[in-house]
Amino acid sequence: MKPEIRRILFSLAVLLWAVCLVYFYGSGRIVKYLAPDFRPIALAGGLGLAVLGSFNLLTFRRAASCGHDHEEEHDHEGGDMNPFASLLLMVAPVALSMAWTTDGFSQSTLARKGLYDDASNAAESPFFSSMLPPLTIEEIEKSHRKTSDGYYEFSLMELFFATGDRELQGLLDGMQIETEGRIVPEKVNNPDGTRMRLYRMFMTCCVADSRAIPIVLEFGKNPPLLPENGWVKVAGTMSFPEEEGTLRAVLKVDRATAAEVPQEEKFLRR
Amino acid sequence: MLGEIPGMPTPVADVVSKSRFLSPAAGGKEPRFRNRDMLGEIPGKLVPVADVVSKPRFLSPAAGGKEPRFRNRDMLGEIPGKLAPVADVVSKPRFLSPAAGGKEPRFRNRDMLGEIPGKLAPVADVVSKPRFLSPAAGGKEPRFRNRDMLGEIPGKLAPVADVVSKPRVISFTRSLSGLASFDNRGLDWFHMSSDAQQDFALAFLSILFEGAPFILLGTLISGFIDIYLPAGTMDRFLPKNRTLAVMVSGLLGAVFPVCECAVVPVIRRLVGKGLPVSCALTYMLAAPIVNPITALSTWKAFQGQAPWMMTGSRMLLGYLVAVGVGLVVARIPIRAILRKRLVDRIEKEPVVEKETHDHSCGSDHDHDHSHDHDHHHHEEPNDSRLIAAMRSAQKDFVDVGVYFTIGVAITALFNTGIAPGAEWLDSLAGNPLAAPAALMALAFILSLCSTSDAFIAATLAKFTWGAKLAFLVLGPMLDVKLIFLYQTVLTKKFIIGLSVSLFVVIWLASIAAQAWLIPNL
Repeated sequence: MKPEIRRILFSLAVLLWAVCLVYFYGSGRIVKYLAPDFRPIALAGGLGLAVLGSFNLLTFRRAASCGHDHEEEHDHEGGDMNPFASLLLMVAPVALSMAWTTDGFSQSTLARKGLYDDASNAAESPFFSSMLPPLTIEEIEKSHRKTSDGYYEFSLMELFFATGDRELQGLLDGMQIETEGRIVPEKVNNPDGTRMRLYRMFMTCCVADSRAIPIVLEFGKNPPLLPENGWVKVAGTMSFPEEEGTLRAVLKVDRATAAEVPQEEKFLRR
Repeated sequence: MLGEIPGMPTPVADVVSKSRFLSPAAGGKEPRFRNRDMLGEIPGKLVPVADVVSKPRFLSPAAGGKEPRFRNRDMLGEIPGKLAPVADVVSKPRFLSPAAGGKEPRFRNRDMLGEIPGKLAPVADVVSKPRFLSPAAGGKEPRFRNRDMLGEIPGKLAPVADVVSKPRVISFTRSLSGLASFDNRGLDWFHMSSDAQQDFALAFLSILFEGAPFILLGTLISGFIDIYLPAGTMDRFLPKNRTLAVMVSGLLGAVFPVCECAVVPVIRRLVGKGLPVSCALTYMLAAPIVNPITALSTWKAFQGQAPWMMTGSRMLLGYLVAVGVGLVVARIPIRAILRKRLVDRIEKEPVVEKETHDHSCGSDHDHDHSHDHDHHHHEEPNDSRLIAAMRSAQKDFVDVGVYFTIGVAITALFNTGIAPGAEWLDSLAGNPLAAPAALMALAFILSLCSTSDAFIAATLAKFTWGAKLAFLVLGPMLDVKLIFLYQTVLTKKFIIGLSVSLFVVIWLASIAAQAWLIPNL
C-alpha cells in the first residue's frame, strides 16, 4: 500500500477519536463518563489527537527524513496490521458506542454495581469511613443545612455508610432528614410493595468503575407515582433496622417530590 | 411510528399515543397494521419480540380486541423458512385476563423479553398478564412514558423501539425483574439487547476516554524518541553490570512516571533504540507501580487501612517482581521474546554507541561490539524530522490504539456483566488461597489504570489485605488490554509464559505477605 494512503487512513482514525473526545467534552456529556480530574485530560487528549491527525493529514504528501543515514531502507511508518483493518478496528467500536450510548447504565448493570447490595458490607471500608462527618450531634447540625420544614439535608453517601458506623447510627436514628437521588423499585424485603430504593452512583475515575450507593425508602403505603430512575428529593425519618440479619438504612418518607438533575450527578472521590 | 428502522431516533410526535393501546370500547383504535411492515423492519432482519408482543394482542376479546391473526414465525421475527420451537409461538390465552377465560402465561422464555433466543428466562422476568389488558378489561395504563424510564438524556430523542416497548412490557414495580439474569445477556454483537448495547457503550467509551490521552502521550514520546533520540542513548545511562542495570531500570519509573498504557509504546521504541530487552521489560513492568503518582494514589485510597504498609508493599513487590522478570529475561534469546519485526529492526540498526562501552546485559547484546557500520545522523531540515516524528507517533498510536480498543471492548463486556463472573468472585472472598487469585482475575478483567486502581481496591471490603495487594501488583503488569498491547512488542509464546509466571509469583507472594506481614488485616 502506498504510504500516502496509509497516512490518510491513520489520520482519519486518529481524527475520529479526536472528534469523539472533543465532542463529548464540548457537549458536556463527559461528566457522565469521567471524574472531574480526568475531564481536562480527556480534552487535552482530544486536542492532541486533533493536532496529530490534522498535521499528518495536511503533510501526507510531504517527503520527510528521520535523519538517520542507513545503508538499508528502513521504515518508521510500517504498521503491524493492514491499515484498512486498523482503521476499521479503531473506528467501528467507537462509532457503534457513540450511537448506542445513552450516557447511563441499564437497571441490570446498576444491580451489578451494587444497587441491591447490603449497605453494611460496603460501609465497612475505612476509606469511606474517613469521609464521614464528625460524630457529635452539634457538628452534624452545624455541618448540615436545615430545610424550612425542619429536615436536615444529608447526602446519600452519609446515610449509606452510616450503616457501618454504630456511633453515627445512634445520632442519625430518628433524625428528620432530607436527601436526594434517583428512585427505583425495591426488590429486597418488600412484601407489601411499600418500599422504593434511592441511589446515586459513586465514581472514582470513570463510570466503568462506579458503584451504586443506595438506601431504602419506606412509604408505609403504595409509593407515589414518580418517574422511574428519575431524580427525587425525599424527606422523612431515618432509621437503621436489622432485617434478615443485615443493618439497612431506611428512610420513612414524609414527602417525596421530583427534583432537578444536579449538576454533578455522581458522588466523586473528593 | 412503526415504519422506522429500530434504533433510529424518532420525533416525539411519532411516538405511540396512549389511545392506540386502548380497547375500542375505551376509545382506543384498532391497530391498523398487523403485518411485519408495522414493525418497521428491513426485510430479512430480525425484529425485537417486544415490538411484536405489544401490538394487537393487548386487547382482550372481552374488551373488543380481536384474536391475533398471525401466529406464525413472522410474529416472532424469526427467519422465514426456519421452524420455531413450539414454545416460541405466541398463544392467544396469554393475553386474555383470567376473567375473560385466559390462562396464565404458559411460555416464559426469554424471547418475549427480546433476549437471546433459546435461553430460558427466570419466571420473574416474564411479563405479567395484567399489563397487557386494556383498561376496560381491568388492565392498568402504563404509568411512565417519559424518557427517564429509558435512562436517556432529557431533550434527546429515544429510539422508537425503546419507547414503545418498555412501559408496557416492563411494569414500574417489576422493571427490575430481570436483574438476576444479567449474566445471560447476549454476547452476540449483532443481537445485543438495547440495554446491553447502552451498558457496553457507556463502559467502553469511559475507559477509552480515560486511557486514550495517556496512550497519546506515550506514543508522542515514542515517536520523538524514534526520530530524535540517538540509538543507544538510554543504554549509556545504565550501569555496565547486568544485574545492576536491571535493578536501576526498575527504578526509572520514579524519574519517568508513566502508566501501563503509555509505557508499552515507549519501551517499544526504546528497545528499537538499543535499550536491552531485560532492562526494557523491567522498566515496563515496574514503571506503572514504582512511580510517585501511583504511590500517592495508593496511599490516599488506603487511608485507614494501613496506607503506608499497602503503599510500601505494593512498590516493593512490584519492583521485586519486575526485577526478577528482567533477570530471567536477560538469559533468554531475544528472538524468543520480541516480535520478529522488532528483532529485524534492531538487527538492521546496530547501535553505534555500543562500541564505546562494554556493558553486559546478557543475551540482549550478544555480540562483540566491534563491527563497523554506517549508522549516524546527518543534517536534515527541522520540519522534515518533525514530520517524520509526527508520522512515527501516529503510526505508534494506531498500532497501540487497535489493541487498546480490543482490550477495552472486552473489559467493557465484563465490567457491565454482559460477560459472567461477578458472583463467582464474591463467593471466593473468604478463602485465603482463592481470594488473591480471585482479585487478580478481577484486576485482569477490569484493566484499570495504575494511577486509579487503588481506589477500587480500597472498596473491596470483603477481601483480605493480601488479596488487595495481589490486585494492585498484578493489575498494572497484566490485564486484558495489556495482553493486546504487549502483542505489539512481545511474541505470543513469551506473553503466555510471562502471564503465567506473573500470576503464580504474585499469588504466592501475596499469600505469604498476608500470612507473615499483616495477618490481622
